[in-house]
Amino acid sequence: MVNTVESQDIIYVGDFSRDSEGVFRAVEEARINAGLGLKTGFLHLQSKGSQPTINGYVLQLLEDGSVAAYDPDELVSARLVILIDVERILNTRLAVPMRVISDQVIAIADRALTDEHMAFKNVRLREIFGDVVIWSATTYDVLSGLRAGGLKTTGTIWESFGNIGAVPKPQPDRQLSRQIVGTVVPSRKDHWPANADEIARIWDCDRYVVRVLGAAPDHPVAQGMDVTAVHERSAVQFVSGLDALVYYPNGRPSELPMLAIGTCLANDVPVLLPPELRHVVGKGPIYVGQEGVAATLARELGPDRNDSITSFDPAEAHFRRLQSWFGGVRGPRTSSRRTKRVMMFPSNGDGLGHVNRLLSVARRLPRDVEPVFVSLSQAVDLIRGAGFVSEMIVSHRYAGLDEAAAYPWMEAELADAIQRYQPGAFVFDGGNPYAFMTNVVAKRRDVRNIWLRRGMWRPDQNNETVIKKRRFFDAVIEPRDIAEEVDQGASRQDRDGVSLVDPILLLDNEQLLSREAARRELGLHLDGTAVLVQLGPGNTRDLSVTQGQIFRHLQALPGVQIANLHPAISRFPAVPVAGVKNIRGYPISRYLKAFDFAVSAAGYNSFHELAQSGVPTVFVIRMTKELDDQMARARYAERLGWAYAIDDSTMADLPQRFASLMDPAVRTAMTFNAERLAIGNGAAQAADFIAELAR
Amino acid sequence: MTATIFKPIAGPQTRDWKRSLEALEMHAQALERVYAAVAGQQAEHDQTSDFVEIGFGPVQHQPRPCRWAEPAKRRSANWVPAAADKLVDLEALPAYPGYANAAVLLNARVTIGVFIAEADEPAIESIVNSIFLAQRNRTDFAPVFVTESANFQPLAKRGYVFEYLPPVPEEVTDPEQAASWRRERLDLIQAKWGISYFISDVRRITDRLALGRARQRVIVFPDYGAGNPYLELMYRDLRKDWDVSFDTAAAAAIAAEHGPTVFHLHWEDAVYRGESADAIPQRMAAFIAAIDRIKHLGGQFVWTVHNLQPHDPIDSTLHAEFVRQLVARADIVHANSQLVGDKLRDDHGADLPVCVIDHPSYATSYPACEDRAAASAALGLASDDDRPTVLFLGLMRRYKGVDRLLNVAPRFADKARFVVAGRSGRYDPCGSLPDNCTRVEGFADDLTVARLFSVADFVVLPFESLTTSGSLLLALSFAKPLIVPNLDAVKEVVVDGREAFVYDPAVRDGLADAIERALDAPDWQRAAMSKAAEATASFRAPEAFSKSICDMYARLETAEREADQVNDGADDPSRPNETGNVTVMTFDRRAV
Repeated sequence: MVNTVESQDIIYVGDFSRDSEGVFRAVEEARINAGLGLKTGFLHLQSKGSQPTINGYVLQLLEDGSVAAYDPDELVSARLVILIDVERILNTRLAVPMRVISDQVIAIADRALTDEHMAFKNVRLREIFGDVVIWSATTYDVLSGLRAGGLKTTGTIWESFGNIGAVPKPQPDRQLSRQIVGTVVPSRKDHWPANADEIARIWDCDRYVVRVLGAAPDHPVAQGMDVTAVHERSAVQFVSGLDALVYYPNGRPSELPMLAIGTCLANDVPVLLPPELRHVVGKGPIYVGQEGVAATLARELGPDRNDSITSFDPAEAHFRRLQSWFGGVRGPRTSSRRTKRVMMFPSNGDGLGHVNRLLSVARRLPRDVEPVFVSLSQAVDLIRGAGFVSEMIVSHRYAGLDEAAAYPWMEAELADAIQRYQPGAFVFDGGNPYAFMTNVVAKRRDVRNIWLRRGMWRPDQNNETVIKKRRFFDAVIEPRDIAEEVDQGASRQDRDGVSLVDPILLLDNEQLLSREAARRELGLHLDGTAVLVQLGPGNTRDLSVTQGQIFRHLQALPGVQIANLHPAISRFPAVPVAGVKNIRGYPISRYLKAFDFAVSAAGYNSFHELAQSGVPTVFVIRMTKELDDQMARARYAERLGWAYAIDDSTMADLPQRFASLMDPAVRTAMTFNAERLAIGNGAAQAADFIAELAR
Repeated sequence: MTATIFKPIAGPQTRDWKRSLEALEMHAQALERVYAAVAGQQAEHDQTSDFVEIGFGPVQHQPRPCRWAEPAKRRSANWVPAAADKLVDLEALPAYPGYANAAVLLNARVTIGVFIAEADEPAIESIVNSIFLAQRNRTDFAPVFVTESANFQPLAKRGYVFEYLPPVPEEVTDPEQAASWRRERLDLIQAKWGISYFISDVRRITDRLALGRARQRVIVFPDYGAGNPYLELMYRDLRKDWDVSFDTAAAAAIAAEHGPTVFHLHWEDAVYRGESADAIPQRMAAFIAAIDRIKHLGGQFVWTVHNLQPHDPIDSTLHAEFVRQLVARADIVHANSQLVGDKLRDDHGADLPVCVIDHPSYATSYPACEDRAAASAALGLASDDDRPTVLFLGLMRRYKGVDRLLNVAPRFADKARFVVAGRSGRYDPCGSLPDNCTRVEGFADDLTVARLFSVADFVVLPFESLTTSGSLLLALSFAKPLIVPNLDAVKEVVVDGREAFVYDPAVRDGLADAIERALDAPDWQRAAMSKAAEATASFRAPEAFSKSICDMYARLETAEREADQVNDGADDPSRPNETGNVTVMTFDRRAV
């Protein structure tokens, strides 16, 4: 038991095991307090009937040291005590007297107090804190009730809002064929309209992407909605991805989602409420009947919408109201604790695609933003070689483990890394966000979660559940694909809110070696035909037969120099083959101009790098379930006239293709066709966007 | 931190598992050979510059600093769960032991952390190879490599589990912070994999003494383990140091490829049982060939002789030849009695490596007896029948003389009831039972056996021939007077009038007379004979039997070691020698 008198600027007192408005609001305010340099404490009172575990968002604050924790019997002083979920405090019988010393106590009511509580008035609170308790409420009707009950009030409501953080505007080429409309529903009871027809009328799932935080309506209409649980994303994170918030409860629920409403208003996101809530919420939202929702949304989200010209700074607003309590003794100051850091989290793919894209972005982050890699890929050596710090979490795939067994450990390891580096942004590059990852990152209020998601998913795969994991991210960045015209995959259908950038490439054009320089470095003769073979690591499929056939046909060609790229992450040794030069290391893109043509897989990186260097290519494809739609990509290139596409199960055309490529005129034409694409490099765009989010 | 011992994979699919795991092992061995071959070629090609390394060159990115966050100054309270609490409920993960030792999943094993400090590829290869070689001799551990090197290829190619322990960023200048992080990281790794201990010096990992004696495999055939207390007693103590399992000679040959293996044969008739007469020679030949392969791979062969003559009809010349081939290959021939041992030496030469260990009693193998009335009721016998009960218990085989017993039983209709218990196969002599005989059919589990002996006043074993009788020792273990023929194997254990009523099977009414004598014996005599039976059983204590079996196996080990020294010499650097400084350092996490 600690008996020394500690001092805090603000102490919040309440039941921090609950998923209540009061707790969520305290969490947001504590975050703002930390940014203002104010010391905050949480004093927990376990109330009857509440869950035994502490709210996850509260634990985050405690773990990163933003908030100090206190037991009821500890002696502590504060300049201001804020009571949350007051009716719970009134119902809680304390085993020992509370020993919080403060001259200023504000009790904030989120719901109307019962007559019983009114009868108590603040007698009990006075017993605990003395005659210093003053009341406020988060809605006008509750405030009126307090006044009517004879309680001493602040005379104004306690506005509820959170700090979304920086939202870069404009976002790179943000796709919006359907805008995103959300609602916050803490529980099914009273928070949805009375019947399904009303729900369907208000939330038009055909016209808008409809997102729900909380509980979906118990009706088939919910199938078109994207539902996020309250423990998966906070209300503030949730609303940061919305174009409008539409909340139409059945009557007046005891507690309104004021944090979501307030945060939207603070960030100029339109909020639509039924007129009967006007006396509850007051100015700010747009009050319109159900029948007018569609027209109002069309107007508010249309091109003629008037954006607010005044900006609302949550930190400043919060400080202003604290000033009246603190007497203006201390001005706001920005905490210097946080540094700008981005955690790069590549998935463990068959090749190096995920790592390569993240390295491309990391190389272009501004100097004031530090990248760190935590990799599921075994390409740690390569990342370090590229000049970046990297840790590794052993993938359950490498260890041959079942996800259910391995994920809790992987979650613990990732949480540990995030605690140590405290990144402002987390960038995942992979096809399917892992549950252990979203469990850790998606609900962290101090980390912006970004999915770097390349397209060209396989159209024959059902990726509905994967696509829905978008709800865990603050932003989705999709690097364009040269072949996007033939993209038929699930990601193509899910572009709303996605920021598109040019294809992400590791090196810019001026960083590529010339043909002569590259040949010198590779030890190739400056004259004659040189061919690169790069089929991938072969860790998940046996490439030896295909590779053997390719070598055999190439060796039959006169005067051809053959180079084979042995990827760094291959589990298999580079087999020496007479007349074939094995290349080890990274990055091959720097050397591609050395080659007259290439034989390659059509993964995102190989494809775009070969196009960047204008190398005529024979794409040899074997479609496996782990890969993206490489065949579509390769066929598109064939259509454009800079490559050939061959399925590796039918390689009969290979000699003919090689013979064709031995003709310099053909190669020139193909190179010209590749260079016509003139692709840019979106790595810098992505890096700037990510850096802004991290700040 | 509590180390986790992973239990062997068990269940009905175990054999399928084993087959697939062993197939995986064989592939791994093949892959290893490919790697070795390719490494040789690479060495040649490297010299001729056919390999070229590439890199970023001048476009190499300036290394980016990466500081760690200052450790948060957390102030906690009773209601805040400690960070470590999150891991408490997580179960340690089973570390895959590597492709070449996949079959270790079938054994109980511990996980050992092997630390690799930042090193070049040959050094890492050397460390990994040490573990790889150690696994050929030991089947009781799985390694988890904790490596400071980002070169994972030597580990990945062998299917080992590894964790990367990156160097502390240069920007982290607080040594306490760095050390704290490494401690936490290693604690998490240790908890995650249930690592028993870390080692950082693997040069001597192959030394058995330093890491505990290697667990060799004993593969026993045939699998009569369930319901056979003899086999349970035999390997009870041995299992502490050896991996004992039941399987075929072919499986033992595969095991011998990967480590020291002893193949232990019991009932040789299991090799050909159920086969047609034409197929029996081929089965025998294949079996002998498998033993030859085991021995060729350094394995050993032990045979416990239960029967000097086959009970089933088989060509006696063929059987004699089979026995001759078996004893010729046996490193030890185990006999359950001196009589059998002497006979084997007489037949196969005085230098036959015979080890005589008397058949044990089963004093501790069965549950406590219920009282007679309760046992009778449970068995479905009349509990108000005061007549003495004469019990026959055992598998119905022709040589056991059950038909003779059933022939004489009606003579004692007024004086005794007979209970005939045990499984019958193709031979079933109990077609029409006399009125005073009751049949308890089917396999008798331990509780049923205890009940039968609780009901019995005498046990009758009307055998026509006998080499070793577990039934005899079983009856003595339950302190029951016996009615038995005067066969040599019987006389070696019991004496007429002391714990048994012995008869001459050649005499026509010998069995009936012996039963008559037993039933007429006064109570005091029955009690005295019961005491004598108990005493005779106690001289063959199961504990002593199990220990003697361990001693027998120790002789095998000694022989193997002596052979190793003769064959391999003392210059092999991978083999610890007597004067070498044999140390395996315990990895001290605070030091790294």
